[in-house]
Amino acid sequence: MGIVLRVTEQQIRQGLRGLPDGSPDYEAIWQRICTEVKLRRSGWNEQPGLPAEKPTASRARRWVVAASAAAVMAASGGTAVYFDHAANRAWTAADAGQKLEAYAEAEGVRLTLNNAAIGRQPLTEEEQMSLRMSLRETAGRSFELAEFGESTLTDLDTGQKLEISGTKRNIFRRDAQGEEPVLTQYFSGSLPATGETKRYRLTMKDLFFNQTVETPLEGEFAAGSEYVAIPEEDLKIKITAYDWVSGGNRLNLKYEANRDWPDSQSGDLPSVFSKEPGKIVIKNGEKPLTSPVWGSIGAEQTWSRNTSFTFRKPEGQQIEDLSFAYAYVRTTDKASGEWTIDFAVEGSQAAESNYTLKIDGQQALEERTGMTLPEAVVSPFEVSIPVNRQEGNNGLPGGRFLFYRDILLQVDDLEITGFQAPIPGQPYVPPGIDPKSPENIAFDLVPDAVTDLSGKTLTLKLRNAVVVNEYPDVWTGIEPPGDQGQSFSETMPDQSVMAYKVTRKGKDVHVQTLTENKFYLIGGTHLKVDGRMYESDLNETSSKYGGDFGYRIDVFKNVPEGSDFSINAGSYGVYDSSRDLDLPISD
Amino acid sequence: MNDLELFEHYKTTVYRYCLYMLKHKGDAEDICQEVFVKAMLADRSDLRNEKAWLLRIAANECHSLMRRRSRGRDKEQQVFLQNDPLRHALSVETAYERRETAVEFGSLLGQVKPKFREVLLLYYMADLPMAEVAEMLGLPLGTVKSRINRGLRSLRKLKEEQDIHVKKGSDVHVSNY
Repeated sequence: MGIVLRVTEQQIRQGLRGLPDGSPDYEAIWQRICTEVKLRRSGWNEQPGLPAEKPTASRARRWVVAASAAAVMAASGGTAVYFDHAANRAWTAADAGQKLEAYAEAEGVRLTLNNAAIGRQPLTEEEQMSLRMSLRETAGRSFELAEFGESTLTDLDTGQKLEISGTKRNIFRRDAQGEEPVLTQYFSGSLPATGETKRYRLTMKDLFFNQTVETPLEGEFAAGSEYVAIPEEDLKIKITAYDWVSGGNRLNLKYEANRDWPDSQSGDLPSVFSKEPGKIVIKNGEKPLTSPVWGSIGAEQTWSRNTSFTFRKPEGQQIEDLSFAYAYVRTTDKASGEWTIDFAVEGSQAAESNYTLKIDGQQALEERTGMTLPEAVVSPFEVSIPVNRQEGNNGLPGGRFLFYRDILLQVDDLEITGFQAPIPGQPYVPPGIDPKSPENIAFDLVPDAVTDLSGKTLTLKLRNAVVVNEYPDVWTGIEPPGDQGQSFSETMPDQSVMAYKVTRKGKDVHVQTLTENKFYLIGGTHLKVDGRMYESDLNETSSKYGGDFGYRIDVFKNVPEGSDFSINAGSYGVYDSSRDLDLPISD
Repeated sequence: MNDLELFEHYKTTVYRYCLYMLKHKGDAEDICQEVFVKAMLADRSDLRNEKAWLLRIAANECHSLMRRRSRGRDKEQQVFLQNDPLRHALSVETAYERRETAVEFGSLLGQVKPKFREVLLLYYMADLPMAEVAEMLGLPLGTVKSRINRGLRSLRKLKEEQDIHVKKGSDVHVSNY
């Protein structure tokens, strides 16, 4: 018997308007917001990052704004234009998968589809197909960045359009040799199985050619000064605040524009590229030095007429040597047309770059960590290494091993940064990782456009093991806390220095522990008052670890006035470089 | 409106948007926190529409997180183990709450594609004018209208499928007795 149920639009609307919020602890969120605002205002906040000197790629990338360089990359939809250091390295991988070399021409531009590769998407169980494309002829046009207005991939047997994985932008940038602009785009959905062949149609429409342009902001840079930022658009900016803070190391800058961001869709050849909002950059001479700090208001995707930025002063630079410019992307040419390429992908050929490799040195690894990493599972997009170990204390001398903080895969002379997750006994897992999934080390090859590891020399480099230390008998006596924070320190038996700042806030006691990122607190501090132990409220705990700066604030609720106060550091992780290892990976 | 009033007034709207976009309570709390931190650090003196502005920041933050998820390049992944893991631990209550929520309308919404879910949340849940949604997302008005319609169709289909499933389940149950 058929069942007929009609759901009205009204019911849907009511459902959407009445969505529950799951009753989060708004009070705790508010407390964390206040703590974070206070810290950022004080200039303490540093965004998380790896040590700055390491020439690693992938997650360790650092971005500086582009001025006039060869390879411009927009990381994703709506982001400002950034220049990627790693994009210029003299290293490139051979294309993996099935060679196609099909092409289409329009408006003097030849779009070539070079190859197709199939493999598992990083961090997921789903498969995806990469299509590597290049612009082999552009009729002599000069540009830094070329972007199609639209791209679609259609399964010709079913008519189904495949989903684009990751960024939807169709940006071609020059390869490592700076020759032909290339784009690798990723699709999921209707893919051929092993032994199966599928036919597709790739359609690309309207190609924009763009250049980064800078307008110098000359004269005394100060609050109240007004500058022409984009002459063709009569866009002016007026500096409303210009304050060097944190001992002259940071610049808080606010400015307002005289008009909205130009709408480039209105003209046939717009003077600005509307997908990339402009911004102020700091320079020394011709050299671009820095873009706004990640996390500044408006520094990521948004452009608004009233904007606040924070800049970090480049190391070794004097304020008086710095100059300012307004950087934006201009569309210099447009090829209106459609490029259509029909092609067929054979599942086995496209997936040929999926295989496993043996990792040597297992005995040394097990002796240092209690874990083994017997093999690396390679796909065109990711190297995944399953972790074998028993949960709990691994009985090794010098503290229980948790994980390696820095994990690198060396591919010839390129280092790719990986990460290990989920860690047994550590409840937090990063976004995108299933907490119930087996422990794994993963290297995402996509950001480095590494598509074929065959024939390369591979080494797994494990650095800075994190081990857990805990000294339950080490208590630091402190004065009864007052409204003004008091500082105390304790040198632990392993020579880690706990720097506590203790403050009473009403009935509560706040214990802030500075770590300088030489270690990090796992369980949090304990407080003892007149012989009675108090545990902190985990909902109010806040912490920040990044750069050279790290801290954790534990909040102990309803602590009575007393006379005998003391603090224990609880469990904390320290870095042990004596367990560093290089493990060769072989066929 | 001072900082606390801003938070009190818009916390539910911002949090609900983040929750249903990201489908993860911990992530939603983190992004909601970041939205208000940015709001409090910004100059709001000339701001005319605070709700739309907050949701614009929320939308950008959610996009960033989802992109990082999809690219597997989350910067925080580098340091996630250095952050306080316990702050993100799920309590028994939270887990129960999540299960309860999952059977409600929100779980259906979670199955709708993000690009449709986004406009549905901004238009219906946050009650923003369609033109505001279009401007916020940098989309033509027609595209927003189309996405709302397609999102509604998708939701309706999911709801009908769920109702049919429940109805069928109930029939089987009855027939067994």
